[in-house]
Amino acid sequence: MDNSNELQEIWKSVSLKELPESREMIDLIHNHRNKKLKNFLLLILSSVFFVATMIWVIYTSASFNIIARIGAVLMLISCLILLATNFNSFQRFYNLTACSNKEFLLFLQQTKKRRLFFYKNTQLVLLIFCVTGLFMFLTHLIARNLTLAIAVYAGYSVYFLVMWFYVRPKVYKKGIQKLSRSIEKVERIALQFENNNS
Amino acid sequence: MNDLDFTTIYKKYSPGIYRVCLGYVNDPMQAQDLLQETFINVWKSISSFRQESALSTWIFRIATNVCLRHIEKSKRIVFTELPFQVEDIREQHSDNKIKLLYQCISSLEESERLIISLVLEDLPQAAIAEIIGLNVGNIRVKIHRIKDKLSKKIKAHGQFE
Repeated sequence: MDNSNELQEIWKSVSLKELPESREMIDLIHNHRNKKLKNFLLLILSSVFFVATMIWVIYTSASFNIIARIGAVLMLISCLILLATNFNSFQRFYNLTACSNKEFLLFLQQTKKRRLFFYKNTQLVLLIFCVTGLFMFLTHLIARNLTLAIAVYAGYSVYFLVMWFYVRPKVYKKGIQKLSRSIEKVERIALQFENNNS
Repeated sequence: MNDLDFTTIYKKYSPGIYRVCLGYVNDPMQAQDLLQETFINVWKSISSFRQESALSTWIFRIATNVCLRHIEKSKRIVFTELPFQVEDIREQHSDNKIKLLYQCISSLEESERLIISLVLEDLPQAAIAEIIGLNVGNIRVKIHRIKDKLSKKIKAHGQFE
């Protein structure tokens, strides 16, 4: 091929009008950083809010029966498990910056394994703590208003059944499919480089 | 890194990075997104840059990683079909030449797109080898093959003869 110079000339003559100015790029980076910081703050604030709410529930349920108070503690534990998991996941993605293609592939494969673990184990533990806690906490309603208690129990039962048997598998399947596509693509690219090496 | 340092780096490297991204996705909007992501990563990681390689090599490596991980909108990448009519092509307008070149490059395999883009950016073969993660000997052979492949694609559309 003896037209390399011409190709290079054509290659470099592409319009750069669409290229953002350096000031624009700096603003974009600051916005991106602020957005990340905002997400992080939101996570911290929601954590504090959830924990504070549960502590308040435990505190105000002092006059409730012992079962209701144990229920509130179980819900607090489920909140803490969820927050710890989310925080860990957030940190993992945030710290992913410059890494090789192989490291990225490993990261994706680990993410897939972690999702499966979360789906099969963590969510089960969360559900057990949350549902048991909630249902135990709601026992204080039985003595006050039986009809209301039955309605609330029925409502929550339907909600948890729908979430557990319909929403949860659907969300998991969608996430895993997306992740598998990503892994497939990165593997295909990794193979290209391996073939190149041989 | 302060804004002034960043401006200097950005002004120097953004055109090249943009062209590499454009060669990879063949879509100016997506290329801009990739450019942004590259420079966000540059900003984030500049403190960990240990000067073991040239700054250009380091920045281009970030850009190639960003390109390779670009998955979400990859369906929009234009692959082998070239929407030009031969009659139009023969008019040899420079815009058409640019479009054709970028489309032919984007129809190559991912690794090939990146290698040829870096060649056209005039990077030394040793730097390309470091960016891509292959040895110089392999890169040399690979570049030769990609040039052949690209040349055939371009000639198949009656250009640059």
